[in-house]
Order: sequence, then C-alpha cells, then structure tokens
Amino acid sequence: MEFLIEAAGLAKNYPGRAQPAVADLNLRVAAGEIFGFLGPNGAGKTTTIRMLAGILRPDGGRVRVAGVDLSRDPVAAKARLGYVPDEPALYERLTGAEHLNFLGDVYGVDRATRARRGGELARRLELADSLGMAIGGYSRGMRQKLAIIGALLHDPAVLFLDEPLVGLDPKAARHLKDLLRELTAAGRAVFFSTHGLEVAQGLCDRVAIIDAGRLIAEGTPEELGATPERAGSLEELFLRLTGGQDR
Amino acid sequence: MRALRAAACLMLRLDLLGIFRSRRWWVPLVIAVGLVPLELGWYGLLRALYVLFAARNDGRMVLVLGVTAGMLTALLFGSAYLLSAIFYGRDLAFLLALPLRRWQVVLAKLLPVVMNEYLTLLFVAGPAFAVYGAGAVAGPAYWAALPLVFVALPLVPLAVATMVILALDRLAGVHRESVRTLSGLGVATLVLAIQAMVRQTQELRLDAPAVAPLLAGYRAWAAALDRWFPFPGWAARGLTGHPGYLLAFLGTSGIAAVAAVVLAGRSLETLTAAHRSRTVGGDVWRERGRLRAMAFREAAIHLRTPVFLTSSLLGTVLLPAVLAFSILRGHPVEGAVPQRLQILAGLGAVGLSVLAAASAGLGATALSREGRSFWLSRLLPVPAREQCLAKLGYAWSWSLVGVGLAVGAVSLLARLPWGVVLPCAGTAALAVLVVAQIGLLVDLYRPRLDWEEPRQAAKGNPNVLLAMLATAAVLFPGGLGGALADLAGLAPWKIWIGLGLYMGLLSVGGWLLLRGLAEGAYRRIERF
Ligand SMILES: Nc1ncnc2c1ncn2[C@@H]1O[C@H](COP(=O)(O)OP(=O)(O)OP(=O)(O)O)[C@@H](O)[C@H]1O
Ligand SMILES: [Mg+2]
Repeated sequence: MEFLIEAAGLAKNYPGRAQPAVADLNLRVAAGEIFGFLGPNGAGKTTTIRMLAGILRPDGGRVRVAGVDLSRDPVAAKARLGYVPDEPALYERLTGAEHLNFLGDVYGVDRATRARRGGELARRLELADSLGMAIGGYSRGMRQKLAIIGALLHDPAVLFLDEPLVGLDPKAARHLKDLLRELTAAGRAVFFSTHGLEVAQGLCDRVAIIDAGRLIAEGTPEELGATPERAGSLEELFLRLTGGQDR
Repeated sequence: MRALRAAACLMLRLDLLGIFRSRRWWVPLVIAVGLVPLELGWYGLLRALYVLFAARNDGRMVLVLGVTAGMLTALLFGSAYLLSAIFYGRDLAFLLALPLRRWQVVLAKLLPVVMNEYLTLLFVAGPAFAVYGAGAVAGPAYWAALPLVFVALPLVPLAVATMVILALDRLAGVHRESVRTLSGLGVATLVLAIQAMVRQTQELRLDAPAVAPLLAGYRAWAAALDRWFPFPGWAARGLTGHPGYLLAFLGTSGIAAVAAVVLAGRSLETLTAAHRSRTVGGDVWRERGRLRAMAFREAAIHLRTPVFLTSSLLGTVLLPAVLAFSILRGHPVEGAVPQRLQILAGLGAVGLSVLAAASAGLGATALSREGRSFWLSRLLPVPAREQCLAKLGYAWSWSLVGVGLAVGAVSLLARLPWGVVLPCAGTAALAVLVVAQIGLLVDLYRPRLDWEEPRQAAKGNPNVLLAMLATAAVLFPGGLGGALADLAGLAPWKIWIGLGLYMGLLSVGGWLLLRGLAEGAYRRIERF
C-alpha cells in the first residue's frame, strides 16, 4: 500500500507549557483514504495538522508527505500538499482572484489549468461572483471557501483540512464532502479534523482519536464499533475514551 | 446608563492598555521630556505678550490667543484621534452588539478621544490661562468659570472634525481607504506648512521696528477673528466678567457636541460597512513568474494598506524633502561649493538617504506586514531566502526613490558637480541596501505578526527603531571614516571608492547572512 502521509514520533511542546501539546504521535494515511482526526478541544489536532502541513516545526519526529521528507526537502514536500487552516487569515487587501492567481503563480499552475480547476471549484462553492471583491469584505464562510479552492488549485497529492465544515452552509458542506470523495477516488489522501462525529462516521475510511496530545484509538469507524445500524456508537466510544460525559 | 459606563470604562482601559501592551510606554515619556523646553518657551512667549497687551489695557488678548491655539490643536489632533478611533478601531462592531443606544456607542468611542484632547489642551491652552490668571490677579469668578471653559474647549473642534470626517466618508462612499490616505497626506502637508511657517517667522527679525506694525495690527486681527470664528473671543470675554458670552460659548459647545454625537450615531452603519470590491477586468486568470508573484504580494500588501503606505511615504519622500529643504535654506549657497565641502555635502546626502530608508522601515516591517496570513508564507513551496529576496528588492526599490530625492535635492541646492553626484548616488544606493538588509534581519528574528490593526505592524513596530539603531552602529563608522579622510586631505575619488567598497562589502555580507539565516528563522516563527 502506498502511504501518502507518514508521521513517526511526532512531538511538540509549546514554550511555557508543562504538558506537551503532541507527544510521540505515529500515523499513516494511504492513497485513496479519507482520514478523520477527532479529539476534544485542546487535544492537539490543530497542532498536529500544522506540523504535518509544514506550518509548525515539530520538536521531534519525522513527517513524510507523498514520499518526501518534510524537514529534508520542505519545498518539494510542500508542493505536494494542500492545507486549509481552521481560521483562514488571508491577505485582506487582495481580491479573491488575486489570491488564487498568486497561489497559481507560486505553485506553477498554468493559466488554462487555473481557469478550469479554479473556475469549476469557485462555481461549485458559489464563490465565482465574489472573486473580484477584496478578501477583507468576505464572510467567514467565504474565506473558508477561498482557502479550500486555493488549497486545491495545484491538485495536491495530500489535502489537510482543519475543521473544514465549520462555518460552511449546508449546501457548501455537501459540496465539500463530495469533493473530498472525488479526490480520494482519484488516489489522493485527505486528512481532516472535525468535531462532527456523524460526519466522521459517514465520510471517513479511517478515524483516529487524540486526547491530551496522544493517540488513543485508531481504525475504521466499523472497527471502532460504529456500524450503520449502531449509529451514535462512535460518540459513545469517543466519550468513553476521552473521559466520559461528566469529566 | 450602567452599560454605557461599563463600555466607556472599557474603551478608556483599552486605550491606555494599548500604550502599555505595545511595550511603547516610553514613547509618551520621551515625548513629555521633549515637550518641556517647548512648553517653557510657549509659556515665556505668552508672558511676554501679556506684558505687551496689558500695557495697552488689552490683557484679555492672551486668553484669545490661548483659546485659539487650543481649538486649532484640538481640531488637528482631534481629527487624528477620531480617525484612529473610528476607522482603525475594530471594536465598533463589538460595541454595537452591547445593549447600548447608538449615541451611547458613539459616546463610549469618543470618550478616550476627548480625554486625549484634554491632556493635549492642558499643554496648549493651560499656560495662557495661567499667565492671565497670575498677571491680572484674577478674582474667583475667573477661576470658577475656567473649568467650564476648559471642558467646553475641544467640543466645537471635535464636532467639526467629526462632521468633516463623516462628510468625507459619505463623499468617498465605500472608499474609506482613500479617506484615510487623504487625511494622512493632509496631516503631512500641514506639518510641512507649519515647518515652512516656523522658518519664515524665524527669519523675521524681532526688533522694535518690525514688531511695532505687528502689534498695531493685532486689533484688526482680533476683529477679523471675532467675525469669522467668534468662539475664542466669547471664551475670553466670558472669563473676564461677561456672563452672557460665557453662556454663549458653553451653549454653542454643548449644542455642537450633541449634534456631532447624534450625527455620528446615525452614520454608524456606514462606518462599519464592508470593504470595497475591486472589479475584475475581463479575464480573472492571469499568470506571472514566481518571483514577480512574490513581488506583487509585497507591493499589494504595502500599497493597499493605508497605514503602511503613509508611514513609508512620510519617511521616503517627506523626510528627505523637509530635511534637505531646512538644512539648505538656512545656508543658501552662492556659486560652486569648495571641494572640501562637496565631499561633506555628498556624505550628508548619503546620510539623509540612509535616515529616510531607515525611518520608512520597509525592511524592518517586511515580515510583520504579513500579519496572521504568515501561515501562507510557511505553507508555500518557496524557499525562505527567495521570499526574503522579494522583500529586500521591494524595500530597496522604495529606498532608491528616497536616494533620488535626497541626493537630487542636496545636489541641486549645493550645486554639486556630476563628479560628486554620481559616486554619491552610488554609495547611497548601496547604503540603503544595507539598511534594508539590517531591517529584514531584525524583522526575521522578531516579527510582529499577531496584530489586529495594521498600524501595530508599522508605526507601532519597535523593529523600526531597533533597525535604525543597528543601522547607525553599522554605517556610522563608514561615514565618520569618510569625513575624517576628507579632513586629512585624502583625494575625493579615493574616499568615494573606499566608501563604495565599505558599503559593497557590507551589502554582500548582509545578503550572505540573510540567505543563510532565512530558512532557519522562518521555521522558528510560531506566533502568528
Ligand atoms: N501557540 C500556542 N502557544 C502555546 N500553547 C498552544 C499554542 N497553540 C496551542 N497550544 C496548546 O496546545 C494544546 C493543543 O492545542 P490545539 O490547538 O492543537 O488543539 P485542538 O485539538 O486543535 O483544539 P480545538 O478542538 O479546540 O481546535 C492546547 O492545550 C493549547 O492550549
Ligand atoms: Mg483546532
């Protein structure tokens, strides 16, 4: 099996904090997989995704993206990944179109491909009419959509998304889910964090649960006890593993 | 009322905290220390004028003068305070969400502005009140009315400033950005004008024959003021035993304040409105080379953020212009300058270029300007040294404009020959490259990225000052060496070559350092 994301012994300590934010984290995501990353607030999901996407320097461990070591050849690894942060802070003064063109220029996407892929995504996410507007005037959801289009413009082998469904309207959320399925069908890998357990159950090929910086469970939703008939059991598992309802 | 009080207190606290949080608490301190001689001079001038006026039985004129100065200052500073409170403030939306009426929101927003105004007025109008009170041995009626007048003093100017700003905002429609840029440039022009005026008056001889007509004319001046702007006259008469005028002054001030608050309350929606949109001409998709794309990002962020643009405009364009102008107007040069002085003038032009480039701070805020969007820089498959190269190129090209201005102005005014202008320009171009590199190095190691308002990355960025100090430390030996070599009688061409080598070596070293350190420094940045 070809693994597009490999993390080994990943660790992160923020200065001035006694507890590590992430400790000895190991995981692998294969081509064609949608991987769901679950965990309570402050568990270390954002920290992990940032390290995997090369935004944050890990204190220890290795990350390989599409077979390229992120610390050894960061430029090549970054060219193969896309990332949508939880709160997309974009260049307020650029228009949506300028932002996408900037990314296209930097990732070396030619104009025809930009027009085809970017135009299609903008239409599906209903952002096409707002591309001429300065990002400073975008709503949260619009920023999210623009960040998603930007992350997909160069057709990355691996896509990281941090709570991508927050702030999206139901229609856009549906489009995004379809999009993620299409990507994995084309052999890409998708890694996303979420608090929506039904989403994880319905969408993901595999899920992992992180608590206090450590992986505490990993497997297919079925392995973790969730079947279509026993909907909601992922929730029970989550609550049990992360300390119950009344911690 | 409770909600209003809470909101007002919060606004005040934020205003004060802003100063301390930004680790710039020493700025007001430095200003205060710098103000002492100015304040003493102002007090002395008013005392002298009071004696002159009192001799003509017109001591009240010193009050008119103080109040006029106070109201003008209140207008000027008020506009600046208001602009930053209303346009730069992100908390308006937050205030609107509180259970407050609209006029209460405006009041909460205005309170810090008014407090700032009173503080300023204490220094401007205060001495006039003291001079008159002491000089005329004023009775209790004067001291009782004084607080009322003082409280009312900034209200009319503030109301005027509010209405002008609102009108500009209306006129400019969604182009709120241009209002900010315009007012920034307006303030800059005003500073220039005051500068020119001060120069003019300094050239006026203050001997008796010159002062006599001036003094004779003051009554006409006062009458004109009474006709066009009666408030200072009202305040002065009100303070000196005419209760009717006192009521008129307090009444108009009160009405103006209420009108401004109500009007501003009506316009709150437009003030919080969304940013303008840029229309996309024809095809949305257009392609650039990678380095050009990086340069485009630098330019777009810098040019389209008014605070960034105005602060570097001030440094790059105004500073060399004003300095060259003031230095050379004092000593008009007749004919060609002797060779000795040519070198010194050339060195001065280089120094001016360096000062302009350093105070524009384009290198020292190069990373900071990206703010929270910095994650994109970490994400992009572009080596940090290439991103730094784009930043360096952008900062340098701006500084070169300053070099052109500074060297051009000095050369024209001192009538330097081409044989001096060209090596001088070359040396200055290399020197400002070093300035940009030093700035960039400072910003690489301590970028200010977690800002909410862009001015925190520009005017409020300590990196600009730090880089300035570092620049002075690095470049000063070169300038000193050049000047000493000139005094020792070394041939000019040798001095220029020596300086060129010094700057050239520094800039090559600077680039090697940047190249080597950029990647590691980028990876270490975690706060954004
Ligand atoms: N910049 C930072 N400096 C210091 N500590 C941080 C920083 N960012 C995160 N942390 C800490 O690291 C831990 C993990 O945070 P992280 O943001 O990764 O959690 P998360 O799983 O994404 O939470 P959420 O579900 O709320 O998004 C938390 O305890 C948090 O307080
Ligand atoms: Mg998170």
